[in-house]
Amino acid sequence: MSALLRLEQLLVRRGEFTLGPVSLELPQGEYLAVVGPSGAGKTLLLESMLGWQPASGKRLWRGQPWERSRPRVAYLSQHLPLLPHLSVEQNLLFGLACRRELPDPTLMEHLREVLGLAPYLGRATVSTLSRGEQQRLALAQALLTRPELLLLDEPSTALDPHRKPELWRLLQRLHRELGLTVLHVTHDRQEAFFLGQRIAVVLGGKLEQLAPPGELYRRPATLAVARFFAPENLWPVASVVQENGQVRVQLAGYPVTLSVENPGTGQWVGIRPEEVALLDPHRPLRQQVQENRFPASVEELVFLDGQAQLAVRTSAGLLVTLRLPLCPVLDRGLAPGSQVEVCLKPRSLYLVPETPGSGR
Amino acid sequence: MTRPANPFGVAAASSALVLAAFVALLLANLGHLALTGPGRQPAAAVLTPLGLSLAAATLATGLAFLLGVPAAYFLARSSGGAAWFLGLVLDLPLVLSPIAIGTALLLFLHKPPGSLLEQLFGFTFRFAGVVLAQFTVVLSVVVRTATAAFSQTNPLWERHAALYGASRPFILRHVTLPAAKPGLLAALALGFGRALGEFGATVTLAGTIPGRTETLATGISMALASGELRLAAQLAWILVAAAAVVLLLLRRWGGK
Repeated sequence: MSALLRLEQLLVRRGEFTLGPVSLELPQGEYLAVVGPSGAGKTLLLESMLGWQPASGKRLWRGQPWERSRPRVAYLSQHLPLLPHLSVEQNLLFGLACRRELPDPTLMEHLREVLGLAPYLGRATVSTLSRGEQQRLALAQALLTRPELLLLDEPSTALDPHRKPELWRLLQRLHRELGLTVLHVTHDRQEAFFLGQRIAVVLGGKLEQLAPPGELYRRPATLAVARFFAPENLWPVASVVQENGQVRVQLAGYPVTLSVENPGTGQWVGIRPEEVALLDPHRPLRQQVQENRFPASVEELVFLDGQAQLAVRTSAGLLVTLRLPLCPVLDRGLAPGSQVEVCLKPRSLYLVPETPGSGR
Repeated sequence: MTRPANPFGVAAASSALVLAAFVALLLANLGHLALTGPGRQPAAAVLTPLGLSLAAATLATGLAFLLGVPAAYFLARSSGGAAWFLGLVLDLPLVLSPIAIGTALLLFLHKPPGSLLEQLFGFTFRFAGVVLAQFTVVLSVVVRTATAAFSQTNPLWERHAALYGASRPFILRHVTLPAAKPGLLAALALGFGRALGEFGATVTLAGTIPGRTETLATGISMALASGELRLAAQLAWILVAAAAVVLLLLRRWGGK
């Protein structure tokens, strides 16, 4: 895939806040999710990319400077580009009107069907549409212009949580069917993992990591990334020893040594709560849970939607958080005070440096 | 079960009622005078100042609108010291006494470069002077209201249109002006109402010469001075009616 967009050392200063320098390449056809908490600089990144915010560095479109390229780009900002003085149909065709182009009837029909526009296309104003309907209309407006790059800024923010997967599937389908290149900004980690073929993590104005979802899950590049995705189960490391092809990690402050299968060094060791195994005393142990086993006592039990979150303390004093399917927790009748055995699976543990490049 | 009356609510409602009654009493008295008040002038005497007022207010408001709206757009979309200072200067006539504005205009027109304009158009004690005085007073009303109208429209709409590839004239015609339309119409109505009632600057620069520079507002003063109470009340009632129309239009466009 050739690079549709390349950012080189993009740097934006807004008072005390600095974004960048950000360098990234967006290949044609990719769905890139940019994830970070509110105030991380994600929208600023989009807007400086478009030239709406003054920035230094290079913005290249197919290898040429952005300003000279007149790229076909559509941007769905959080404030949707729907004009209150136009009817729903006029808004739908607004992007094309700006380009002085006529709609492609096949694409129009396809979008009408996929986005379910028909019921409200005859309305005189967009103000009577729900947020979800406005979202779909704005998406159709953008897609009708056949953009080579679609920029999305928090498209699901105003939707009810149960409606979000519906939008995610829709975006996935449109990306596949129309061969779009998408840059999607979100603060929702689930959304980023659902949609992103690669995920860029922006924290405090810095691009901390850019990687496929699997790599991001298994090997967060920095402590900040690990904390953003799973703030629980991160412990400082006292020493790391390579032994017979395996890494032995001594924790700082606890008499605990962990076996880690993933290579590397770092000042912190961590594991995602859903990767911690709760061992069943009545079942034989699998190969992967032979090491790093600790007896522990349940300190806290919280019921989530279809899951249970347990905080357990090992005999060495280590506080470990687990996220498990609800069923085994209910079946075993676990409650605060219950005695359990947990395993920090060696292949699921990762070592993370404090800052990029300091540990690897 | 009825809720006990809130003493603050009762006081506030009473205040509104008393004030409204005061205004209604003024208008009723004016109406009574307009029908039965002393004076020898026929009712048709209102027609000349009315026509002159309408013509001058239309020209002054139109001119202020044409020149003020681009300035308002600039002020609404700009930030920084220069825009702030320009906004301050353009707002000045809004709080300045109209007589001071008239005096400033009069003095300006008696020295170059103002005297060149005076030679070219002839403002002092002429109809053009009425228009100039009203224009100067109305300009800040139009600029302030139009700036608010543009500020309420989202600049992102224009940026999105430009991103889609729209030209500047297209954006102006299809995005900026239609989005700000209610506020711009309000600026027009407010400016026209202000011009129609303008007295201080007009009388200072153009005087009040019957049939030449006498407007509704200056005519009231003249009628009062010559004891034509009925004519003064009739002229005042026309201004009241014009103000009522302006307010109704404002409420309609302002959505209130």
